[in-house]
Amino acid sequence: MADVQLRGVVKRFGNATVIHGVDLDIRDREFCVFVGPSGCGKSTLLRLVAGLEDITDGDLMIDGRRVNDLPPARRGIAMVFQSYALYPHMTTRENMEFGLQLAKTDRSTIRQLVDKAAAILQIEPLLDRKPRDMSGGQRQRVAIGRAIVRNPKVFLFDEPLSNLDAKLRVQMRLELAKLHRDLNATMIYVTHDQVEAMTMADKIVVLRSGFVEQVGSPLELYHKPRNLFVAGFIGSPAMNFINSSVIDIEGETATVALLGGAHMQVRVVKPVKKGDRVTLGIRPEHLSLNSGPGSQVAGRVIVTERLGGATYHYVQCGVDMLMVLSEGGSPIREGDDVTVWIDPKMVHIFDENEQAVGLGTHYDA
Amino acid sequence: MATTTASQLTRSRVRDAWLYLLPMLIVLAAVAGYPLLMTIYYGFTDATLSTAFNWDFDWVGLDNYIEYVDFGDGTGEYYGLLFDPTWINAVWNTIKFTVISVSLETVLGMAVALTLHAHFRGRGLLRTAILIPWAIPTIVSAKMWAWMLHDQFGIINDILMGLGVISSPIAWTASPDTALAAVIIVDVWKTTPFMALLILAGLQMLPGDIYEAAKVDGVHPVKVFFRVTLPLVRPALMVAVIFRALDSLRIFDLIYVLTPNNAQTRSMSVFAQENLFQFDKFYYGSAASTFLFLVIAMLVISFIKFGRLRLGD
Amino acid sequence: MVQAKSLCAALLVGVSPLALAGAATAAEVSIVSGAVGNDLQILREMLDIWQERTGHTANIVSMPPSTTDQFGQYRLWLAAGNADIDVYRVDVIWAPQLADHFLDLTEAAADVIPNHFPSIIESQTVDGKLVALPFFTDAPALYYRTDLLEKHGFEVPKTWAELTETAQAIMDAERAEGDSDIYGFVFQGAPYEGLTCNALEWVKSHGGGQIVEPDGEISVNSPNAVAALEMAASWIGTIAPEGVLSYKEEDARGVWQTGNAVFMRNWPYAYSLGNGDDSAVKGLFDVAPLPMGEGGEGSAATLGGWNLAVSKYSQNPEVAIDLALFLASEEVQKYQALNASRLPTIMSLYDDPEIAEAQPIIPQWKDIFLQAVPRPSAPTKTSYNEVSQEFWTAVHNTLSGNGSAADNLANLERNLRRLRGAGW
Repeated sequence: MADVQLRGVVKRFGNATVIHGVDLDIRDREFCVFVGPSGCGKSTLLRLVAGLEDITDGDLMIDGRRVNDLPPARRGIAMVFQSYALYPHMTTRENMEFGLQLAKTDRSTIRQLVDKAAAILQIEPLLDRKPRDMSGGQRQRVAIGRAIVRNPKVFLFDEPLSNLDAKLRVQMRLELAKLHRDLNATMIYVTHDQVEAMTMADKIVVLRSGFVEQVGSPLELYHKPRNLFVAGFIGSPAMNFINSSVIDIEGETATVALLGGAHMQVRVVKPVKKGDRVTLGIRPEHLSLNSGPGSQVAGRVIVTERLGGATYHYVQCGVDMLMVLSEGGSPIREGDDVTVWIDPKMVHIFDENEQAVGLGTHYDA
Repeated sequence: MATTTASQLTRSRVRDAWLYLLPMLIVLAAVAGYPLLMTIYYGFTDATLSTAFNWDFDWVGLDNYIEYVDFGDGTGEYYGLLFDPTWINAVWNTIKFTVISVSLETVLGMAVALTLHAHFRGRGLLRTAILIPWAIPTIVSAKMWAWMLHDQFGIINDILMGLGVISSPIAWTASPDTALAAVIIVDVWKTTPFMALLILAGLQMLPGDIYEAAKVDGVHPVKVFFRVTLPLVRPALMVAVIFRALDSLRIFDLIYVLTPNNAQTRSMSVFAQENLFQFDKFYYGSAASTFLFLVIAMLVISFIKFGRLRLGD
Repeated sequence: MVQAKSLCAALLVGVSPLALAGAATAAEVSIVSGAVGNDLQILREMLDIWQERTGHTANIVSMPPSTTDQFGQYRLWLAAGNADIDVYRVDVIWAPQLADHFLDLTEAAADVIPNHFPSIIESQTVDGKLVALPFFTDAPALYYRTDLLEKHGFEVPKTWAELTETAQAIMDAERAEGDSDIYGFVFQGAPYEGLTCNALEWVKSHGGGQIVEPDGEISVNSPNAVAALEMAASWIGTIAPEGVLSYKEEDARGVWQTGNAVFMRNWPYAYSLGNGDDSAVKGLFDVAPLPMGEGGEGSAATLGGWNLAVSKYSQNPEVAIDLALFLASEEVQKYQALNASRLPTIMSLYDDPEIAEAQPIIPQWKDIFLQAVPRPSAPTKTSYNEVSQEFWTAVHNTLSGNGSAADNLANLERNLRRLRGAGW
């Protein structure tokens, strides 16, 4: 098992720079998730770690050793691909054995390793089947099994669940989390789905356009997004944003304008000036309708989505559309005029550069 | 009620399908079916070129394939294709040519395809360039090679002598030792691009990620080729080999231009052509053509069967 | 669209001769001819004269140089009743095989028949039908380099052994002087009809018969024939280049006319071409009868020659016959003799002083061709082509070292017996 360090890692394809000097520390046995929208460079970053792409600049250390110039096979990694990448003409057992045969491991040892991995993944009945005779979930297990038998220092997963249906994805998510615990291995996992990131990660790395936007634990990102992008990306349903401006500033307390002439006092932690344009961010679960703490904004319910256990109300407040999460049996209907209560303790403030400049006292803990 | 409607619908669909197929079936019957049947039929008659088209010939049964001729003096001999040493020689020539040239083309075609499959600058240009030998009509390229292989004026001898490989010019197309080799060289030169293209198409169907998986697993590229690429590209390879084998079995134009009338390169088709048009043995040439057709048909059937068995395991 | 157009064109072409026939105006006829040297150019010149006189048009359809190829194509065209070709230039040996497809010219040529050598007329007569008119006749010669023989002090060889010896000696001497491209002897060794002609001469001059005798007996497997082929085989790679195994007339002439051979066996047409301005051997060579075998019967030359037949599928038979008569006429034969050293078939032209002066080879050649050996096309009838192929294959195998002469000829005899079966 090993820790992974990236120091100023840069990747250029021709003239296009796709990874802009990433610094990252992944500790031993950590489950680290690279998340971001498509094209953010998360897969490229993983491939740099795997050695499938050459690192243009910077250093990659695995277990304290610089591995930039080592071929993938000698980096002590194993990778699970999005499309599983199983050899179509080989049985499960052959697929799992194929990479081992070269390592001069003797046959009985190989057999044992495969059997053990198959037991962990509960794929013993599939050992003699070929990929085309298996479901997506089964293939995914085989692909993971193939990684396990290599007994790597670091597991790399490239969007492994994105080809599965929703239900299977939830199930596999649990199993992967369990596997991480059982194997006690360092894992790097790439996904575009922030739910997967939130549910599995010890550490999330949010990437955008080849830059690391924020690194932290799931709740750290949820509670203290460093910028507007992370705030919008992490959390489901997504955070509401209200365009606003600073009316007054007094120490750490800023007065910001709300719709309909209302205003609210919020805490800022970085300097803002009177008249600055800011964005207020507040999550749907922190808004309430018709009664609650904080300031009020008037609006009308445009759409209501009832999920049974919860209800999403889309409320038009002037130019802003706010989404409010209510309980399942919310009596409010589409077309109702409502007041939206915004609790200043729950609010995030972002400046014109989209950087977080303030947040409610709720997040102090 | 519902089933009646469905079957009516099916019936009308089937009827429409036949209607649309009909023109093509008629054309096929006229341009492929009729000539084939007539050739087979002529093979059982004594038709010559002069008599074939006015139906002035007789049915002779299997005589063209096997017939005992009594010389009237107590001696006699077996005649017919099955006992004709020239024909048997032609069959062996053809098989030898097919096996050697298709094997070479497969190996070289695979090498070329693997090269073209790699990413590098100018790949598109190279892909086009490599197709040129295939695009040149056989007669033209055969004439071209005939000149290049010419013993007095040919560039091949000139180069080899310049390099000191040979001391006197070799009569490539005339010498029995080299005639078949010359034909094979030209055929390989001409059809390797075709082979490469078919294999390349097969290679491009292969998923790229398994190669990355193999790379991560540290499998040696040679092992990847034999254990992964080759098994996976085999269906495409088989199709290409069948195509080429069928083509080679009926080789005519190249031999006819390059080494005409040469016993070492007389193929089944050349034999058939000679009998049909030069020896006034239309019946015998037809029988040879029929035999050639049978050989090809059997090869296709066994290839398909064999291929399926192997593909389905 | 294109197809529709060409179909229309085809219909028009098909219809127009009928329309014109009624008007009896100028017709268009086609003559098909193989060619060596400048044959086609000479033919065109003569056709131009005919066109001017008659007002008709004559087109040449040219063919590949291999007579074997020509024959195959002609047979196919004739079997299909092709009306596009009116006049065929046919080899002396083809008459029996193609007779059914040609018009009987006996009546049309009644006046001129007595002028030609009777043997040639006879060779073109099948079952009393004159299949083709003689165009020119052919008998091969031994071409030799007068300058080289003189330089090295050799006489013109009378026997094959002398030829072998002389060729080797001059070749070695010339090579020693730095002419590394020179060879002693070139002939037609490619596996085709021409090799049958060459080999027939070797065998016959050694007293080995003429493959199949006039009575149908297969005579080719004899000790004399074995000796003849062994001699020829000994030339390959010594005095003759190995490539001679793929040479036809024009290949041999190519080597000869660039000055790279001491001796050549070829037809008279090469005489005037060798004296052309572009020839490296102009004025440096002469011709002699082919050598004799050791203790054999004397020199043997294969009878060649080309004749003109009129297709019975011609849509303008009268015009086509007129063309054939013109091309076989004294005027044209003289023109050809003067310009292409072609041997006339009209007896009187051998005494023509003009020809004697311009092409001295021709009067010299009268006796040679009169004694020329016919190929066994008469006794073997329709099987001749196959007989010839079996023969040239056996010879080619022997020349190229693929089996001994004795084995190959024994094998040939077996194959010819098979071919003959109960009778030719």
